[in-house]
Amino acid sequence: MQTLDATFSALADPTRRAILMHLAKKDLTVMELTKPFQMSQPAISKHLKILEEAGLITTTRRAQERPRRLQTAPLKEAVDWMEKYRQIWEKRYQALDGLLEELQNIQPKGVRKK
Amino acid sequence: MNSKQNVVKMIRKGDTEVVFQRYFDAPRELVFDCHTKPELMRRWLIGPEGMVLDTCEQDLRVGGKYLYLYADEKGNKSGVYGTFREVVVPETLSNTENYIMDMETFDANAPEDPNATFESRTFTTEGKRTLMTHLCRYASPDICKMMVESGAADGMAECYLELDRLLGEMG
Repeated sequence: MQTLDATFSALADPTRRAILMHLAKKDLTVMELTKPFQMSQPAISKHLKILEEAGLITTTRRAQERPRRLQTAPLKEAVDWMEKYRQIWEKRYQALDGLLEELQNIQPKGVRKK
Repeated sequence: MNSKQNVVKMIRKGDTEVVFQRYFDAPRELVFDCHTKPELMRRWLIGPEGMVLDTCEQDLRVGGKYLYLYADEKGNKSGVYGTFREVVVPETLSNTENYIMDMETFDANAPEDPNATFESRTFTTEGKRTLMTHLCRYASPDICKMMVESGAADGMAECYLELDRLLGEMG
């Protein structure tokens, strides 16, 4: 659960979610991430630190550069957790859709089979 | 099945509340009945992982109690119980919700946990459809916090959407 806490906390910030979106396409360095966000390098670094602590990204090596890479495992865990909850209700409501349709076919005016 | 599928929307509200919204293609009287009449509830209120609604006791009035027990094929049971706090036919239904962790020790007449989850369902007519708004408020914010640990006020649904998109992109 501590992992989930850290994940959600890291994801609570729109900039950090956007950073993850960019990293989903390819590994990027701090400098490369600075451009699309029009933010200072320290500001981006701060966000990256939080993401790294939550295990959502790791630092890799490419010659002199230190590009960041998206780690999907904690994300999946968080999404799965929420999805499970939502899906139970989704399943129930789909069953209810069917029942409502049936009830409406019986009830409206006129002749219906018994 | 419906061609235009209605889906559950999940929205975060405050730091202890989660709201589910769902449209139904039926008048609200019917949707309300399906939430309150045991013979109808049994038809759709399926439990987690294929469990069926085995016991469905309802004392539908303010202060009245309910008990829903789900059972799997092996006869294992679990469920929820609580007290109705608001009953306005066919508009609103509010109640507390407690989870039964262990059938052995479960006592329906024991005093209710002051930290029980509070939930309310509101049914609104929108043309020929009914919008159901299902609010869950966690008295101890821990469960809610676990779900949506954040200081940000932005809707959690938005976050889900982005996550969905992100996971989709990652394929």
